[in-house]
Parts: sequence; C-alpha cells; structure tokens
Amino acid sequence: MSFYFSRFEARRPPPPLAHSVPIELLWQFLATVNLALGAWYITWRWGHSINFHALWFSLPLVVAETLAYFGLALFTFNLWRVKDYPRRPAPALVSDCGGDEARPISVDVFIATYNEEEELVRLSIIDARALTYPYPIDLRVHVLDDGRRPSMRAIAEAEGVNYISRSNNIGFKAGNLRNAMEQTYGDFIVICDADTRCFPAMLENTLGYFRDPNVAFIQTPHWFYDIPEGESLRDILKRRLGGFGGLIGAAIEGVIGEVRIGEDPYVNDSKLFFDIIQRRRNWANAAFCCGAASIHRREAVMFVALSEYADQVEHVGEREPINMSALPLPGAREDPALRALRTWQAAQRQELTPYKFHVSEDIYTTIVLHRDQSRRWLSVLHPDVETRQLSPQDLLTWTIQRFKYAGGSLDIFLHDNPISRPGLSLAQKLMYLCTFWSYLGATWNLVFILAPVIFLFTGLSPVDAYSSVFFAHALPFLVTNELAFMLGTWGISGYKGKVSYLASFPISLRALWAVLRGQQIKFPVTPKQRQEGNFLSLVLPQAVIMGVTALAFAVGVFRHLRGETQFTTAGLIANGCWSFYNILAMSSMVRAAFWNPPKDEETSA
Amino acid sequence: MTLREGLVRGRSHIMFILGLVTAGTIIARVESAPAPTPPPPASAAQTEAATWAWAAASRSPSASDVALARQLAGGLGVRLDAAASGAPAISPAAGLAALEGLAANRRGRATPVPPR
Repeated sequence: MSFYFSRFEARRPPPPLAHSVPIELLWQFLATVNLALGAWYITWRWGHSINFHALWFSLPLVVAETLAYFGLALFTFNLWRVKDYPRRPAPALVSDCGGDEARPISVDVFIATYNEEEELVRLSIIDARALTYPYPIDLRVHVLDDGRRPSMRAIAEAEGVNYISRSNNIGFKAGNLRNAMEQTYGDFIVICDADTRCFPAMLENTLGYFRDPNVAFIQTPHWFYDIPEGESLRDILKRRLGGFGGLIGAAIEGVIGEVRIGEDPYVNDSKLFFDIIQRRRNWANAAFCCGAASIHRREAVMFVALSEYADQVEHVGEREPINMSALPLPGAREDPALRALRTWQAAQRQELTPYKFHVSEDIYTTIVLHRDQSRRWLSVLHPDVETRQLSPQDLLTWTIQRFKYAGGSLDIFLHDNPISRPGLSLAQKLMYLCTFWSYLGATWNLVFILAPVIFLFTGLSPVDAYSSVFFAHALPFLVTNELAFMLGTWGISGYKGKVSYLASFPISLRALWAVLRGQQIKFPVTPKQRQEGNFLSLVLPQAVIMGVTALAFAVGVFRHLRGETQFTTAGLIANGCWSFYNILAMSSMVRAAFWNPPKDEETSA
Repeated sequence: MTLREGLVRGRSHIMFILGLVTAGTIIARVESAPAPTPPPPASAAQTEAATWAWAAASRSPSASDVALARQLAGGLGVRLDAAASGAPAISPAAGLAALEGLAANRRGRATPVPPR
C-alpha cells in the first residue's frame, strides 16, 4: 500500500542543534541587556508616555506591553541555558535501573489508535517490532484500539502483536493507556500514537537514562518527516518564465539566500519547541511529556497515580457528606466505622488515573509527577530524534490540534494551577508559567494587532508623542530583542514561529473563552489524513485584520498628505511598519488555508 | 576549585552582570542626553508673515506642496481657514519658500537675518 508519505521513507532526521558555549554566553549577555532595557522602557511608558487624552486606547496598550514584557522575561528564563541530562550506557538488567531483580528489562510499546487507517498503524507496528537492544530484552508491542475494530485486531494478530481494546472510551487516550497498563507488566512503557514509527535504536539510546532511579520518563522530539519542503524561487521562476526566470531567481537568492515557496505551510516543524524550548527546561527538571515518542518508568507513573488517588480519597472523604443509610450504627459520629465508611464511599467515587483524564493528559501527568515531593521524580528531554511522525496536513487538522493544546493548558492553569499549589520548585513554577502565559498572550496580541489600526484610522496616538524620546526608549529595547533571540535560537529560524504565534491568536482566544465559560475542551482525535474542503472560514479573523490594516494604512497616508497634523511622519512610519509586520504575520495563516500539496504528492492507495 | 573551573561554573552569572552593566551604560547615556526643547512659540510678526505666505502657497497646483505649506503654517500659528482669503502678489512657490524660511528661523536653525 502506498501513502502520500511513502516517498519520504528515505528522509532522515537532522541531528540536534550543537551546543555552542560562545553563542550561549552572547545570548545570555544580550538577553540581560534586553531585559534591563525593556524594564527601563516599560517604566518610562508608565511614567512619561501615557496619552491622557486617549486613555481608553493608551492604557490597554501599556498594560498589554507590560504583560508581554513579563512573558518575555519568562521566555528568557526558559531559554537561559542548555544543560543536557548526562547520557549513560544502556542497562542490561532491571537491577541496573534501580530495581531489585537481576533479570532482563521488559518493555511494553503502546500504540494508541482510535479511527486511523489500519494500514498506517501496521507501519507503526512493524517499526516497533524492529526495535533493537544490545542485551536480551522482553519487548512486547500492544495495539490499543479504542475503535474496537475487527480489522485492526486482524492486523495486530497478523503482525504477531497483542491487541487490547475495551468496551467504552472513558478518559479517551488516558483511559486507553490506563486500560492497557492494567493488562501489561513491562518495567518501561513506550507511548506511540497511531502514526509514531520508532527508529530501531530508540531503546538503546534512551533506556540508559533510567539508570538514575529517579528518572520517571524520557521525552524524545517529534519529527514530522512529511513536512513539505517547498520549491526554491529559482526553480519556480525557471518553470514559469524559462531560463531567464531561473537567472532572476538565482540572482535574488544570491543576495538574500535561498527562498523556498510552500515550505512547511502550517509551521509544523517542531525543532523550536523540542530542540530549544523543551531541551532548555532540562536544567530546571521541567521538560514535560508530549505523549507520543516518550518512554515511562511504570513504577513512577503508578507511584504518583496511587499517591494522587490516596490524597483525593482522603480529602474528598473529609468534605463530602456521608450516605448514612449505609452506616451500621445510625447516628454514630467519629467512630472508626464512620471514618471507614466515609473513606470507602470516597474511594468508590475516585478513579485511579495513571495518566490524567484530560485533553492535555501528557503535560498534566508531568505536572503531577513533578510536584510529588516524596520522590522528586525527574523528567528528561532527550535531544535526538528517535521516532518519525506525520504532520497535520491541512488547516482544519492543524487548528484542532492547536485548539487542544491551548484549551488543555489553559484549563490546567485556571482550574488546577500548579503555580499556586505546593510541590514544584521555583524554577519549575516559572517554566510552567511560561507555557501557560504563552497561551494567554493571545489577549495582548489582539491589542498589538489593533493598536496601529486605531492610530491610522483616527490619528489618536497611544503614546504621548512619537518623539525622539519615544524612539530613544523603544528602539534599544526592540533592537536588542531581535539580536538576543537570534542568538538564543541560533541554528533555526525563529521568524516562522513568531508570526505563527501572532497569527494563531483566534485559536487561543477561542480556547480561553471556552475555558472561562466552563466548557469542556473536547478530545477529538487529530485526523491523520488530509481533510478536504474550504478552510477560508478558519482564517476569517486573520483575513479581516489584513484587509482592515491595509485600509487603515491607506487612510493614514491620505490624511497625512492632506496635512492633518495628528498624522505625523514619525507616527506614520512607526505604525506603518507595525501594520506591515502584522499583515505579513496574518498572511502566513491565510496562505496556509489555500495551500494544497503538489498534485504528484496526493498519491493514495 | 581552580579559577578556570570557577569561571566555567559562573560564566552565566558573569554574562548576566555584564549585561546589566551594559544596559545601565546605555540607559545612563540616553538619560543624560539633553532633552530636545520645543521650539519657542511663533512671534506675532512671524505669524502675520506666515499668514501672507500661506495665502500664496495655498494656491499651488501641487497637493503635496499645499500639504507641506499647511503643516508649516499650522506650526507657525496661522489660522488656516481665515488666512486663505487674502492673496498676496507672490507665487505659490515663493510663498512656500517663505514658510520654510520662517519655520526654520523659529527653530533657530536659519541664518540670522542681519539687522537693517
């Protein structure tokens, strides 16, 4: 059977970013300069630049700037330094990993599936079975089918792996994993999605970390091997305009470097997230699980689940009323029978959930692990890619995925906030706050999108004046910000990530609104196949903002030429550049709605 | 611990301190720079001259010249609507040049006019 991605089988993942001490030191230097100048700028904004004639406009902007500055400080803290967890040789026996028994290690590979194409899952099964290890190992592959499909069972049996299903879908993926844990016994668990295909040396490269008995899980980077590579400008122009076009393209690329059109239209490349953000949480023991491509110590997951269970039973039992009819001695108060009954009733209501029943079960489970004070479990981000996966191939799938990430994270932040609960270290709290803050950022990003539009339409200035004093405070901050983060993310392009973050504000806002209204964030399985249809409705907010911003700029220029004094040249330049950046950012999302794979890539069986 | 080991361990802290010092230097330089002083208000004589110059410049066929003249005249305290009625016998270009001269003079950048 051939898939659209069959042609990419030979692709191999890039190595992790090399750690350069000089670049890291330069980053730290510039980041500090940037934060200090930012603090100075924000202080000046509050003290000397608020336009009291347009407070309704001026105040939200300065508040937004302050909140964004706080996010910048958190992000700087996140990226501060690389400190990889030391690698250790693969263990031969359970006793090498903190266990008592001198027997070979046993590993369960869970491939969770619901409705994905069976032949796609077969590829994951084949690769899981091909895992190698330098010592004898008890390796078992299990297909966890929440779709209860006979066809899936048939494939599992044909491939010689275990098939596990259940009669309901309680807890969705987390419930599926719990059901499998009840039926298996491996010392370690590899979690795979239906499309997660392990490279053969995955276990050999990662199990060594478990020699430290406190390591609870290893997360490896997600590598999407089907990301469209696009086409170089030179080739496109050559195809359309002939040899002359090719020469023009070559000349342009000779000046500004290679330009690839249609490359990674949905900004799925996760290198920024795994190789920069997650990897640099290692030093604070704050790397979190992202579900697929992670390896867990069963003992750790069960230990924390049982602790949480006992804790909840105890607390719920204390505050909930008792069903007196079940009490053998009516009217009895604090006697042992009453306490036992209360505990028993509370235990009936609680569920043991090794993986939290939540739309973001992965990060939530990590938080529970990290805040367990009795063991101080460790998490490790292993920087090498050990699996390959499929990326969202259309805007609908991408939107569903991002909505789940945003909604899940915000739900944890607003309903079980780990920052305000005991257990996490200060560094861990700041790291998690950074994650949650980034999703709240959509609210102030909206202010940043609207601010230049308001100025260009009305001539109202959010600052007292676009004077040389304003630029003397703002420009050093903005310039050092660009330089610092260029070095902080050295080796990858941060531009796509930045514009994607800005342009995806409607998704985060919708997720925030859903969480604030108490709506449950649904668990729809992210489709693994390309969805057909018109996705323009998904980017309507971005398209409207593009149009309104362009119109506002035209109005601003017109009124400036008419000599309306509030449309100053400096104000027009500052807001014009700002508008241009916003339009560029929004256009990346709008273009993604129209993206189609090249015709010759749409091959399917 | 050797000095080298200490430097390796404390290099992030050193960068942090260097960053603070650098930022402090930048801030100190900007803060100590003389603040730009707003130009003094136009004198009655300047405003009167600008009113005549604006009346001429506003007849220019070039929209951008009119826009510039409007901006300059506004800065010199000319009541634009009222001034447009009078039309001195100079060309629009001469009117604009006069406005530019008056504005520059007010900012103190023009060559001082020698006393008559």
